[in-house]
Amino acid sequence: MTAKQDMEITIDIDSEEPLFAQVVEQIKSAVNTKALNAGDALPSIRQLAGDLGLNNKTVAKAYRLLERDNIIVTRGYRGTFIHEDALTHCSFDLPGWTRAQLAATIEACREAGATDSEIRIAFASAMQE
Amino acid sequence: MPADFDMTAVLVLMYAVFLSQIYLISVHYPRKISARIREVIEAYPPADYPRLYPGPYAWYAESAKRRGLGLFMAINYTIAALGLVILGAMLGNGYEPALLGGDEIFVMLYFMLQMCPLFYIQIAEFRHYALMRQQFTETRRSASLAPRRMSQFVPPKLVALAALLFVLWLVFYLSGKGAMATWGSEVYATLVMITGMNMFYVFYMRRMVFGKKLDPYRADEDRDRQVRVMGKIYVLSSIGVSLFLSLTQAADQYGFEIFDPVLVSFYLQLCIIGGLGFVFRDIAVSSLNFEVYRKQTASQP
Repeated sequence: MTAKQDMEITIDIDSEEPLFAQVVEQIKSAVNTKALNAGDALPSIRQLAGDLGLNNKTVAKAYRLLERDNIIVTRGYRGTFIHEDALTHCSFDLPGWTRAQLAATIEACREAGATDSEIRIAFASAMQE
Repeated sequence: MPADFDMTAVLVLMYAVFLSQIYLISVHYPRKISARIREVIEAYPPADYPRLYPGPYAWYAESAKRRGLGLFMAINYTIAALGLVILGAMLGNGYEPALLGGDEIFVMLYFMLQMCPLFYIQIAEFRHYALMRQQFTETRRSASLAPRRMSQFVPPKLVALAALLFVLWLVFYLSGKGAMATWGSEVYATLVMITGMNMFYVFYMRRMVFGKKLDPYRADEDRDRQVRVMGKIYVLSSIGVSLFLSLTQAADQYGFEIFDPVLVSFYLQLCIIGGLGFVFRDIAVSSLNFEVYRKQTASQP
């Protein structure tokens, strides 16, 4: 099965939103609106990057994130497909969940008396571990 | 051992094929190319379709509209005249083709000369696309989420036939050349050249199907059609090379080397008919979407 012929994604290279995030969001949105269904084939990284005039690495990053979130699945040389449970996984807003977790942690740190500078330094240090 | 032939018949055939080569490559197709370029310039002028004429191409187009492709045609006609002079000299000097072949090298050299103006047009086309890409300023870009497959552009049965003929030629060629110990450098050169050519076709097709658009404005349907035509040309070219090499090998083995120059000329003409001919037949100017190059008004995106 392949994606519907008229299904297109559009990116804005002047947008403040990173290009890979635009690709991720639009593929998720296509899954949510059922424009893309489980088992539908997606274009290769090279094809999509070429058509959008983007670097291959940008599209590869978007595909990696989608694969991590079980929205898409790569089956070797056969290509990339929409995951069987993509619709369920799409409804989970991982960036939103991450923001909420961080907000709660920051709030706890502030309540304990940590300054914003101390929180930033601790966050950077934790990210490097 | 060369077979016996009626030399008059061989010469008549040879002159007829060479005359056809001169006319086809240096007169007929250059005229068609020139007419096609003028058709585009007149129907889609720079004032209304500025995206089609990046940088200096608007000036070139105006100049070509007024004077035609004078230099291009003059060079082609000069090469055609040179070909006729060579044929006249051959006729005057009572030329007879070598019984053991070898004269085909002159046919190939003249063909290369004939191809120079066409190569120039090809290089100009790539420069044109490069300038278009430089001037492409669209910030919103769309792409289809339908994957493309090579089989959409090149018929798999034709590819299988090309592969089969390549293998058959290889077996025929190597069996004709005997044991490996006796292979000369020309055997290795032929093997590398023909394998390399087929690999180049595969590489370039993949690039056209999956790579970046040469012309950033071109409509997807037009691009697909062009890739399909190029795919057909490449596969037929691969089939043609295998058949041609098998024929010349057979000519060498069975004493028909005297026909080598005719075979080479005939094959080269077929390549041009199969290449340029398909492009003219399958990609008519009127069938292309030129609206993508039209000047944008304030209300358009």
